[in-house]
Amino acid sequence: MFSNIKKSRLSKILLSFVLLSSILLLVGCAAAPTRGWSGPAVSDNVLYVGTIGGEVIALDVSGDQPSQMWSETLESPGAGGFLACSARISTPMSTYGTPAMGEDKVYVGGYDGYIYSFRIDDGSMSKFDTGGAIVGSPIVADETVFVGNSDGKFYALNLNLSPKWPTPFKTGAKIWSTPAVDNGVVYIGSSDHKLYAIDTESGREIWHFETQGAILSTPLVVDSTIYIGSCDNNFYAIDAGTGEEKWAFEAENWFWTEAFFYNDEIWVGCLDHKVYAINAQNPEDFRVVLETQGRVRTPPVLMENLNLILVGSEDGNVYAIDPQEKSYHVLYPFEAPVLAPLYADQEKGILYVHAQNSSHTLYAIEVETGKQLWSYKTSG
Amino acid sequence: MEFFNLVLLQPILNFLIVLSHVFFDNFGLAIVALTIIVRFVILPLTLKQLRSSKAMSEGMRAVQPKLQQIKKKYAKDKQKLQQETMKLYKEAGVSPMGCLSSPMLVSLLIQLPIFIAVYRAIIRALATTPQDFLGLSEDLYSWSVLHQALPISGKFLWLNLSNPDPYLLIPILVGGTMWVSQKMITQPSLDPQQESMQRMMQLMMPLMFGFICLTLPSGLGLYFVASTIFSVVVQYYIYGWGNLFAPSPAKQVDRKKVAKPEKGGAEISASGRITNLKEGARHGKSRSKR
Repeated sequence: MFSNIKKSRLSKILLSFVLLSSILLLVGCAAAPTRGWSGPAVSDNVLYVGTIGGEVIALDVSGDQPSQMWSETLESPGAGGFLACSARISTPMSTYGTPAMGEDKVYVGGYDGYIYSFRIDDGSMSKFDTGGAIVGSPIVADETVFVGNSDGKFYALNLNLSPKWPTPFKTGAKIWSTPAVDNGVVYIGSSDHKLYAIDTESGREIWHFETQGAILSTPLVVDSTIYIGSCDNNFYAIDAGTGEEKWAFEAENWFWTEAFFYNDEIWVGCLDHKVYAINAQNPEDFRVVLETQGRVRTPPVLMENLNLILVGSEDGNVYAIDPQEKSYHVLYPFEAPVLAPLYADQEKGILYVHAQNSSHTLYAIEVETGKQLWSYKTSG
Repeated sequence: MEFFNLVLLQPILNFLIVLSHVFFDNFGLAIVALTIIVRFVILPLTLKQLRSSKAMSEGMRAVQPKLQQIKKKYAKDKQKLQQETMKLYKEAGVSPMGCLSSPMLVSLLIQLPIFIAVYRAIIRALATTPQDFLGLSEDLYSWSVLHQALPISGKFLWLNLSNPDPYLLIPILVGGTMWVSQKMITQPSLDPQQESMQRMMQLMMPLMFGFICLTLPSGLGLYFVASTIFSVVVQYYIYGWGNLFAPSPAKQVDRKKVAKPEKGGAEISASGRITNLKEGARHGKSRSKR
């Protein structure tokens, strides 16, 4: 009798264990931890960056080692729910956008849907609720902060974060793109496959250009032409005045970055692991300047005094490309995906990189020597 | 893992996204359609598994009276008891491992990765976070229809398929359909321990799945519901309503205790064990024929 009871209990424990394991497996399969890919922004020797844990930190980078001036935790929704992990699917917390510098404030978009402003001198904060997760970076232009959110709404805010337009501009799907402003017009891509040109003052649509895929890239405006990539594998040149297509260049995967104009060429990274240099007038004249082992979503940046174009890859390397010699070398192997935009300090010759390793680490690399000056864990 | 992605996950994922486009960007319908298509593709395996299961449980039921006799006869000689039991199973062509017998195990093992692939394909296609969407770029074929269909719109009826159901209807449906499905196929056991285990399984599994659906994206809950309803339909084809409306043997025994005992009917020992199983075995067999 006793052994039967023991056997029964053992079976129940075993059964419960199997059930629990299956459930953990299901939940584990579903839970995707958010990573974030906020790039650094620097002003007056102070570096601002968003972290994987939903913080904004300000670092004094004037000395040999960085020192934290202040940090603010954004109003994250929290990881509640069963086992605290499945809820991350609907309520991620990391910061994706790169901070934007205003005159005396820094602006950060949070995945919690708020746009935050921090005073540069004392870090005091104010915020505005957009109602949807912010993934693209805000930009500051014409005394206005522009930002889009995952509800498909595009906002123009005064510098004190009060709305400038009577109502936000509504697109058909998520806005994960960063806007660009030129000549009184703001350009923003949307996941509804369209690029919109909107009047900065009235918030009215001037034109839109439709592609076959979501537009997550940041537009680049040069000489009345907009250059932008799409998730239909095409990179487009569009007339800024009319919204007509000038040309399209097809790659092997999506474009999710901002292009860079250099010497009449458009340099752009692609999720097909390559960096292309395309003749700005003729897309048939192009070259693959770099092929990496990972997706490229960092915009290329120029280190002017060394005449090197720097680009990061998901393969964990930052590459330095000599545009004249058409050669490249690994500037620094981070051994962690580099997905966040890079920041090149032209005066100091330093490149700041926010690498996506498990704890997210910020690095300062001396570009001339490729030497790591310091590293700073931003989370974990 | 690479092999799993290449052979199962990516084809299912790409097909799911195409389905979404075909159904006018309605991802909910795409999930239901994919579930039905996949279940139809593996239907021969499912039928084989169910038929084996039915045959096995009928065989087990048929040998029960003899088994009880053997247990009585060799109660003091465990080695002999084991030998005779195995001999009996062999003669009757049943496996003591039940659902873990080789043909059923093989069909289960083939089906399991497919279910996991569908589950993971739904999560990947929903791609709610930016890094999920970035990851999706590596899994897609170069068909233009895929680019046009992305990003997936999670709106379906009252649901945002990326988020848990705020009205809790999906968790209730998951739990309810799972309970019905399990109740249909579970053969009532005459062993009280096994009966208690079965009852616990019948209750615990639907409760647990319903519970985890409280926080899982409702798209996954929709997949569970569609898949389980398909199972119920297939099971109906094999078993009829099975044991869905049948009372448990304990209740049957209770009723018989209250009523006047019939000749040859089941008798209950002091320990609550059924000592004459002929009636119970016949009853179970006739029910499974329905």
